[in-house]
Amino acid sequence: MDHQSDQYHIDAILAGDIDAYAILIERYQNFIYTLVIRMVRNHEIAEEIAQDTFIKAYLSLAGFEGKSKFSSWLYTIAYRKSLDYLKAKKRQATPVDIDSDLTAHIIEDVKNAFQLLEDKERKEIIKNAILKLSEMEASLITLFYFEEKDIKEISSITGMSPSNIKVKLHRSRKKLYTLLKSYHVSENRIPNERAI
Amino acid sequence: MFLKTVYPMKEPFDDLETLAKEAGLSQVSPNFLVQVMDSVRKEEAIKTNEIQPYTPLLTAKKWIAIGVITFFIILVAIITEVGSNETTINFISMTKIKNMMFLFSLPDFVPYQTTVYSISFLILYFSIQVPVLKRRFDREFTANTSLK
Repeated sequence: MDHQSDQYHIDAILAGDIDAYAILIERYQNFIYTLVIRMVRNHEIAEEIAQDTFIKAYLSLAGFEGKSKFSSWLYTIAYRKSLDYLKAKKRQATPVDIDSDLTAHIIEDVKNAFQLLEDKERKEIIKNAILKLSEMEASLITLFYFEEKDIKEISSITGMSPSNIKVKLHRSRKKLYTLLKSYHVSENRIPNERAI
Repeated sequence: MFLKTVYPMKEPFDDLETLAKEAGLSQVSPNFLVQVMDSVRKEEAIKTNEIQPYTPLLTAKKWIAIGVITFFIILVAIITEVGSNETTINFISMTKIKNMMFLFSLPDFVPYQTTVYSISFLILYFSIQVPVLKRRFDREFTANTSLK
């Protein structure tokens, strides 16, 4: 595992060491791909956009001023490329209604129920729930929780205002809980049905 | 403060992090890195072998110099050819021009039919080959530059 900073490798690339770019790709490929696939929801296209992101970043590397993190810069490219694709496709996600009965008790109940599930099963359910959010919501949840970007960084990546991001994030969390609750309900029904 | 007022259920929703992280990262295909690096190397090769702008073998200044020198050589040749028994004003007469044209005319030469055919076919060959090659080069270079 290479522990050198991103800037160290960027300097090496700019000095002519192309292979140093492989380290940066390895470092961020899964992060970028995760963000893209949650927006475009297609493996081949997500890989293509992720590849284009890295190629575009390489070609523009001399212009990277280091004002933001290299990862944020990559996310910005990937996010914009994904948006371009979605605009071209005019894709619309099925809207998810927020459950108005979502109380703190139910949320706790959902969380406890999910802890009892097998790791693999739990991961799949959460992944599927994220994919049922709109592309925008899925990207915000991904950037905020998976990539651990703060609101300011997300704002620079997406071009949205911090207050807008906060509101959208809150709604996304609510929707996600609504979706997880529906899984939780169906999960509870299955053992009963089996018992019958 | 604003969020707390508008959304009273903020606290429990904030606790989504652990649950959301469970999904983990999606993995790229195993050859992803190789494919990106291949593309990067191709781009780098294009960048280093960029088409150089066309620079003529002889620049405009050189052509002007050659033109001036040639003009003076011809001028000197004409003046010396004119001779002493004629004035420099009326030396440009038809007879003189005809005499001068004789200098450039070839002696009687009857080429073989085979030679004529060969030259004709050679001209035909070049007149086809040049546009075809031009189109091919244009297409290739346009394709390479569009990758950028």
